[in-house]
Amino acid sequence: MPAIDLQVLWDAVCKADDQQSFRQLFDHYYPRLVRFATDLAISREAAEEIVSDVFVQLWKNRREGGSILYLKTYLYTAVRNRCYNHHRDEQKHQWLELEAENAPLAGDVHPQLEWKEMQQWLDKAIATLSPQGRTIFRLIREEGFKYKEVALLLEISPRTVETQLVRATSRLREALQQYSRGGGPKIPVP
Amino acid sequence: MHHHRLDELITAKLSGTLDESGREELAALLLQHPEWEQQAALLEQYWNSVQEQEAPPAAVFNEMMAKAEHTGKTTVKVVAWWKWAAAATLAGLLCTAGYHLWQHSYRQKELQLVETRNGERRHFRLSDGTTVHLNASSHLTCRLNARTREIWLDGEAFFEVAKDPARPFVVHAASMNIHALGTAFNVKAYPEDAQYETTLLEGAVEVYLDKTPEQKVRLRPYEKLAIGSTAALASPEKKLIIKPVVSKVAMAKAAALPAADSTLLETAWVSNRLQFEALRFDQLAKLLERWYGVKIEFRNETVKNYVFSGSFASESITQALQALQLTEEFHFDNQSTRIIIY
Repeated sequence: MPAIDLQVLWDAVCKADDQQSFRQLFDHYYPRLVRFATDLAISREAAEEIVSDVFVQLWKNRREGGSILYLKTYLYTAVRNRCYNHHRDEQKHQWLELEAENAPLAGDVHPQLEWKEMQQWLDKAIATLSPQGRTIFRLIREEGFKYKEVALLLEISPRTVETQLVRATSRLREALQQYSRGGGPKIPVP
Repeated sequence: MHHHRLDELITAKLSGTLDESGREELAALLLQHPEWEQQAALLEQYWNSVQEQEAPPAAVFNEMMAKAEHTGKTTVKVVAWWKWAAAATLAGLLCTAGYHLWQHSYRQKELQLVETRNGERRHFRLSDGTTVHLNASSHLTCRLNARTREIWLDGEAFFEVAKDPARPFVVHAASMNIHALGTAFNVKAYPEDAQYETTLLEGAVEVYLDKTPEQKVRLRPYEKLAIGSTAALASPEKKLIIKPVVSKVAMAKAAALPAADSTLLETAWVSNRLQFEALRFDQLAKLLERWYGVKIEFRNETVKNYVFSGSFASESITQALQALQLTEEFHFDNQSTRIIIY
């Protein structure tokens, strides 16, 4: 959904208490935020609870919503803060899983890979990145965040964001090469 | 080792941070290694084909709403809930904290982010009373606290700074730092542009570059300071250039503050006018891209060198291009978000 539509929905929530618009915002952000929270090393169950709670607060505070200039950043930051609270005992948040080092991708390579299959193939490659790496990749690709915003959100340097993103690109290119080695000579480009 | 550079360039292209020289470098690299060209194309296609996320079941929303509408008046548990809710609200508000001065130890972040896309302009007021107009395709981060007011800007913005001698107002844009005290000024620093500019309309500002903080330049009203974006990095000693700005209506300014002078090239955008003077078509195309949120492609090298002056306000992109056609001969094909000029 384009950013401007989301903003219109949010305006309707703030000014007209429109539950239907709130539902649409919820449906849009809920799966993304849950995935973001699970990447911050939170269990799926806890992640769902955290995201729901953020929306509970959002609805309660909708009248003051005018002060939220940028809903997306607000939501991600709120989820992040709660995830940190969840980990309160630890001094600093740590990315738990390590990146699978050049793990070969599972699955057969068919000579006639359709675009859909190719996409799934590359999705798998992204899944082998470290949680931090794939979070960064998703935030920038799917949510349209800028390097600097991701850096602020994850409390890392913009340089790290860039490095991780370049790593994701390398991993994707490796996956493409693996494909062409393993199978068909031509990759169909729709 | 070329591989790593290739990955860097592809990454920059995908995330939209590739500048002109990077574009050229990537094109040259792909020309040298045709086998990478298909890979690059496929990666771009993959990048752009984001799958829609599946919405959660209705029950998840309903359960959340039940909690949200629950006002809770009596039970003991409610007290805990409220305490927790207050803390949570606080945590949440921290990300919009540019609006509020929080003196809280949990996380001393008072950052606020605002950004605009191509074709989008916004204006808003900061908690200190400063008004900001943000031009298209710009990104602004601000930090306001008891001691300072700091802004980081990528792109273009017009500031009407609220007077507060106790808290200096500083804008960091590219390699420029602009220090203001109760002032109206415009800053233009798009990373992809060849030049960064500060234009002062009222009050006083001091500008210095990152590398030469001791060398400060003070601007007077209606002066513009321009620095080359690449030169500024390569040779920091390079003199800053101050140009007087010519207003078409000489100093016909109302006594009341504001306002960006709409007769001025540098700040016309604040009053929703796109104004340009003696600008090459390919440079004008960049302005049009930001202004209208479109992509413009040239298929004819001669046309790129046409020079135009003019201003647009409520015109659509088609009307704007038709107006330009009155002056110079060219053709265009408008495919909604992509426009081909030939």
